[in-house]
Amino acid sequence: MDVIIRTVSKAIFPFILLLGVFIIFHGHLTPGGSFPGAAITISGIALIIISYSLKKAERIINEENAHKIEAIVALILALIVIYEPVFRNYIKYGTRLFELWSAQQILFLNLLGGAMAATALLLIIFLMVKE
Amino acid sequence: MMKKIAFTLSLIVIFTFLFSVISSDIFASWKNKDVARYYLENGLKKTGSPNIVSSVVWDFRAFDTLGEETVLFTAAVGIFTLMIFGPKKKKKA
Repeated sequence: MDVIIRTVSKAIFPFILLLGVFIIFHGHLTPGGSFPGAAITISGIALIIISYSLKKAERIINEENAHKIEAIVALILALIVIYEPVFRNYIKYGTRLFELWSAQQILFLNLLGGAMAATALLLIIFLMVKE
Repeated sequence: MMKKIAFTLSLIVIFTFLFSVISSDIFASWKNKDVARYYLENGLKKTGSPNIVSSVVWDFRAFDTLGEETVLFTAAVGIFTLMIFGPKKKKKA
């Protein structure tokens, strides 16, 4: 692609990642959550794929690594949701409102769900580019 | 002939469903929606998160969200198998 497009996309790529991670982390305080944050995060990688090439994006995250991350995260998510009554007694911090560490288990679940949605969207984008 | 009959039947079914949904929203009173009212009133106290949507999605209805993530996981596994075991591309000359 063009030099201007490459330079601008390389400059704004970390800020897009930062916005996506911020939305995932503040899912229990502000509108948004795991799915919109994952979509924003992956849109940054899609921008890199469009402006550079697939190899440049695979240097950031490989598809096999993405699949491994998704499998591990899915296992942890299922365990936390199923054994939530047990964990509820141990995770108790910050009862003040509008603090980052305030909601009991929603923060962890948002993080894990965001990771799962991000890896799934990443695999879909890789398949669409390769075909 | 069969196509016209099937078309009219599907139209009738779709419009009855749409009308039932709309009328249930219009005629049902707020007093009958106990579950929604409970979530709105006690969501902040029980979960501690000011975002009602996330408190419903990840606390009250966490099992539904687990099913949703299962759908995503299944889609990703299918894509991964397509990428590995699918038909191999012909090399461009």
